[in-house]
Amino acid sequence: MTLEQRYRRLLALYPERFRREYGEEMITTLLAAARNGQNRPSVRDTLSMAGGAAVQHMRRWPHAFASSSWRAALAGAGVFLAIVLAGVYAHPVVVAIGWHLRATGASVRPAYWFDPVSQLGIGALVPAIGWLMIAIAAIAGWRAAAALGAWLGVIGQALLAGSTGQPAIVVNAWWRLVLALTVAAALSPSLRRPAAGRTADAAATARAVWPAAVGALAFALGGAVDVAAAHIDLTPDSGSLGLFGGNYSIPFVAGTIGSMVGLPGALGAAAFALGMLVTVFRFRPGVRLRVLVVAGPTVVTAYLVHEGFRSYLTSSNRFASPIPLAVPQWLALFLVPAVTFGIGVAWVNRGAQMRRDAQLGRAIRAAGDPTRCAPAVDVPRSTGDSAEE
Amino acid sequence: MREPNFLVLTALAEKPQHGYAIIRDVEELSDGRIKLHTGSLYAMLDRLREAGLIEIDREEVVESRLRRYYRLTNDGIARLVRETAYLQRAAAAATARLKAGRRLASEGNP
Repeated sequence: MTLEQRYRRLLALYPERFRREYGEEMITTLLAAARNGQNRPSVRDTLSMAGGAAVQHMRRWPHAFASSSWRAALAGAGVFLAIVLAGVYAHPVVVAIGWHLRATGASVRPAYWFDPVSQLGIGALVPAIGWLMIAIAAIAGWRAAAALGAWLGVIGQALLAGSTGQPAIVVNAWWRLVLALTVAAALSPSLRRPAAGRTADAAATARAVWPAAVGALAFALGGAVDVAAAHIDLTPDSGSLGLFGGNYSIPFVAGTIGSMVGLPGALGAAAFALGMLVTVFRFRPGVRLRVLVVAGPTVVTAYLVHEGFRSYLTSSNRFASPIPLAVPQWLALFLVPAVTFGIGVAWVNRGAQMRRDAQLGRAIRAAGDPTRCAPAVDVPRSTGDSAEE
Repeated sequence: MREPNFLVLTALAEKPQHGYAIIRDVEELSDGRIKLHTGSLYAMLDRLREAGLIEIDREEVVESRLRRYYRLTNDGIARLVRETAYLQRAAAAATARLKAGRRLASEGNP
């Protein structure tokens, strides 16, 4: 490979706009600055090009979201995903409160009856209510309050997961962290938007996301019905629990009860999934695709944790002391959501660019001879131009 | 204005120059302290063009390689004049104060 080819490979790191504008003369300059007989780019040249490319990509980043479709998608996804987070956090708390009420009413109670409310306290309600308030604030047009609340939520969730010192808990919470970060990031750029059209926007967003809100409510209530309808047979040593789905004989310990799902719980979860799906389809097509791209990192992260970290999570439960995560595992947790988002944005924007180009092409063909459309300045007209006469 | 930007504008003050000539000029003007690399040079040129301080003068093809010459715009000239005046004032102030400081020091311990 020649030096020029190697330089061209470095140049490929730059965004296309920059390459088109400066690519050829950068190659000229790089080759002019090269020493005689040099056949590889120097380390400093490589770093300078890679750094320059990164800066150019980051400078283009705000432009990538400049279109009205992206702005609508970010605002809509911010509210939509905040509601999803509220539902995700509300469900276990509602279930826990249900168990608390059932337990305090029982005449016989095993010594290790898990009482989540006294363990978690009223603070367990904060995340669910918080994300709901953020969604309401965003719909009402209090953009600064919504964005600030969302960032506080991200920090709170990260601190809560991190303070346990248990990597397994952090891994389990990771998709919720990604989701919270997505909401905060999606709600932030709307701060700079002009106030005009605010009420129309808010009404449209609220109309689009109500099925998700109803689904989240059904999800939480389904859990509550599960608990209320459960048949509990208490003996001093163990409890037996009957949900609509079947009969379980289990010791009442944390986590076990939360994962028990009866028919109402399953219906609630299905309603939540349906509500999210309907919400996505209520956005207009261009916005819908972008909302899915915004939600992509969370979905991929949940899948990554479920599939890629399954054995880690299983084995780490069996040891008393926490097992630290290896560097590649941390890298995967950080890079996979980021890369997913980057690829999604690049894909959507490239598709939009191709459609614009195709429209331009059609317009030029419709106008006749392409060469006549190109120059905007005065071009001497050919005498045989019958259309003009 | 940061020093590399100031030096790039200075390199273009006399006549239009192409990328590699700017790199060499900046190195010479800064007594070898500032060696621009191609990546950072074109990031700066892009930003200076966006700010309206420089523009493309002409393009040439030499040995089938594209060479582009940049020149200062009127805004660029005005900006360089302002920056130069500021630096001259700052340098004059520094010289005056150093002189005064030396005088005080020599009066203090003769």
